[in-house]
Amino acid sequence: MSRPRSMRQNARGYLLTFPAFAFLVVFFVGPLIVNLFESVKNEDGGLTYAQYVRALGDAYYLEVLGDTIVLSLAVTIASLVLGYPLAIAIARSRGALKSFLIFLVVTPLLINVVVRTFGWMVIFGRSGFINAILKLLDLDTATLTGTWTGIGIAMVQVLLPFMVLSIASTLEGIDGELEDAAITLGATPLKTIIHVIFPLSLQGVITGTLLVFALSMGSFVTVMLMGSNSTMVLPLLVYQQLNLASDWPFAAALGNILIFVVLIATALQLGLAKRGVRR
Amino acid sequence: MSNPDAESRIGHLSIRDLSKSYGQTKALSDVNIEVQAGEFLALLGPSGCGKTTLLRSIAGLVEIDHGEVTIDGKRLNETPPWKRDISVVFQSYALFPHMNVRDNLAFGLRMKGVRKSKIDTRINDTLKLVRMEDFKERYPAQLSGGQQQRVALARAIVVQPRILLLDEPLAALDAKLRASVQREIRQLQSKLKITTILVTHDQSEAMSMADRIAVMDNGHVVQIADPTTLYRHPKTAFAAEFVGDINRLSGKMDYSGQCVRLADGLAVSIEAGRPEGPGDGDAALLMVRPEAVRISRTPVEGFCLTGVINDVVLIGDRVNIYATCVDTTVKVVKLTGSSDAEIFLPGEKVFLSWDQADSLVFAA
Ligand SMILES: Nc1ncnc2c1ncn2[C@@H]1O[C@H](COP(=O)(O)OP(=O)(O)OP(=O)(O)O)[C@@H](O)[C@H]1O
Ligand SMILES: [Mg+2]
Repeated sequence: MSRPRSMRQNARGYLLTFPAFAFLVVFFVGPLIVNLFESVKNEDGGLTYAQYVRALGDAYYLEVLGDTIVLSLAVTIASLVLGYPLAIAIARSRGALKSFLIFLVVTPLLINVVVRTFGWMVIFGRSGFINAILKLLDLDTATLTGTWTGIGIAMVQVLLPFMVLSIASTLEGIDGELEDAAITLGATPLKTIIHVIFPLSLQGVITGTLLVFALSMGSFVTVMLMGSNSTMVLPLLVYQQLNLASDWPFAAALGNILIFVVLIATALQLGLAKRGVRR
Repeated sequence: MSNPDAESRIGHLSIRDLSKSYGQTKALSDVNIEVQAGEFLALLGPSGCGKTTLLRSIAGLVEIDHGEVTIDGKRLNETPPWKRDISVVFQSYALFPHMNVRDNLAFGLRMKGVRKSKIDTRINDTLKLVRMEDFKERYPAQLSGGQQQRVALARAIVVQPRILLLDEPLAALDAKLRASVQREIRQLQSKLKITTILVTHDQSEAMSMADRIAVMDNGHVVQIADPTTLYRHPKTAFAAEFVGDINRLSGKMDYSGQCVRLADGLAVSIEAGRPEGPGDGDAALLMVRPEAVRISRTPVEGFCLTGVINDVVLIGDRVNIYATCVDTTVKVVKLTGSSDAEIFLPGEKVFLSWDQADSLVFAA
């Protein structure tokens, strides 16, 4: 009886999404399509997959792709391991303490990437903070600048908030009495987290890991500033092909490979999510 | 479960001088309760009086400020909740949504290290006990409220706890279902002989299920007694009003006449010797249960109140008669069709009286 009306309301609802939809088509889908064409365009206007053969047939590019994936995986896992306890702390705290913890977690996002990276370089440098302490303790000095470890640490710092906030928001939705029930049934706090809290927070874990993985796969400023010759990632390669070599078709092909890897990872995780989060 | 071993029969709980504050709020003040092994105690009190806090203190889920909780003489204060062997059924049931019924029950058994070979039989026996054996594979979201309630109960008892705590487990059920579940829980409890504490703010639930009732008010235990004693001899006006219906008339204490003088000067004589009552000349509350009041068209011997009927309500097997006397309305309850339940009409003048022993007197 109320059908026509609700349909009209639905139509109006869809109408309201139009600006966002138009924005996405023009600035997101559009460039992706342009990018795709760019990568398969021949000099004489025909189609070719030569750029992809060039990228995937070369050991160097494959190694860079591998390094990029490994770095992103490592950053994602580190963010999860460091972020989960933080998310629990945020979900459990109340009032001023909670606001403070959230502020603490998001501060890296408020600092410009260049400034933040230089900060890390100061800390990691040959005569930086860490080495000063190592020297004081009479230990061998080491430098993390220009190494995968240093880059990873710097990236975890800025990507951690995405992980923490995704997980904290699902943790907050979990009924506190579930935890009490588990504890009175004989589960220690750790076992309660493993068997009850963690499985129920999977949705947030998946959102967080997807965000962090996708963002690390695409980030290159940290690597550009902190890295060395031996640390190369795919997005930085794309950047160089565009700005230094002006090889647009090849840059486009590399970019598409990057997107493809992220899509596969997303599909894999969402598949996992469907099996893990049962209602 | 079919053969509870002797160990599960013990479980004498004592709570001594227990206090707990949340900031400025005193949730519990010097609570003292003894629960015998196998006893069914109801904690009865209005919302916010500290029932849940007391239950959670016993389970070890809140840190208490002061006092002691012991089971079979062993102090529990330092024992963490996962080692207390105290099961709780929460008002929200708190079933694990990501586990099916079987895994919900298995959880506690696994945590307590019960051997794998025994887990299945214990789950099956317990589910049979609550008549949920056909729902093993279901997830909580696929069960009705009543079924979830039974699974929550099964999960609490399958681990054979020393103490079973129930926090308003029936509040979410509709009235009809609640009555049958009340009976089921009572039967189950007497069969398994688990020491049980049930929190409720429904006095009829407490009366029908418990061996004894502890009435709580504002963080204090006002009285602990069996339902009949509590109903007949409440220790305070609060307990009298909380358990069952009661009429209240205000007056002044007069010890020289061994009576309470109502506002219109009528003296209602009371039984001798009332140590806990008000002092001579103090304001006093005279209370009487509706079913103890006699009503007639003609004055009776001894004291009697005159009143005017203002409403007569027939409720199935009984009639509620409301009469205005002195400055209040007195409710009278009679069985429909009983000799003194002749139909009165609004506006009629009537005489009310009751036995001296039925007068309850408290300080106002
Ligand atoms: N975590 C808490 N923080 C602060 N105050 C609390 C907390 N838990 C309970 N209180 C307060 O302690 C008092 C007792 O609460 P409690 O939950 O024990 O009452 P209750 O008898 O179970 O009530 P209800 O019948 O509504 O469940 C209340 O005044 C309540 O506001
Ligand atoms: Mg409560």
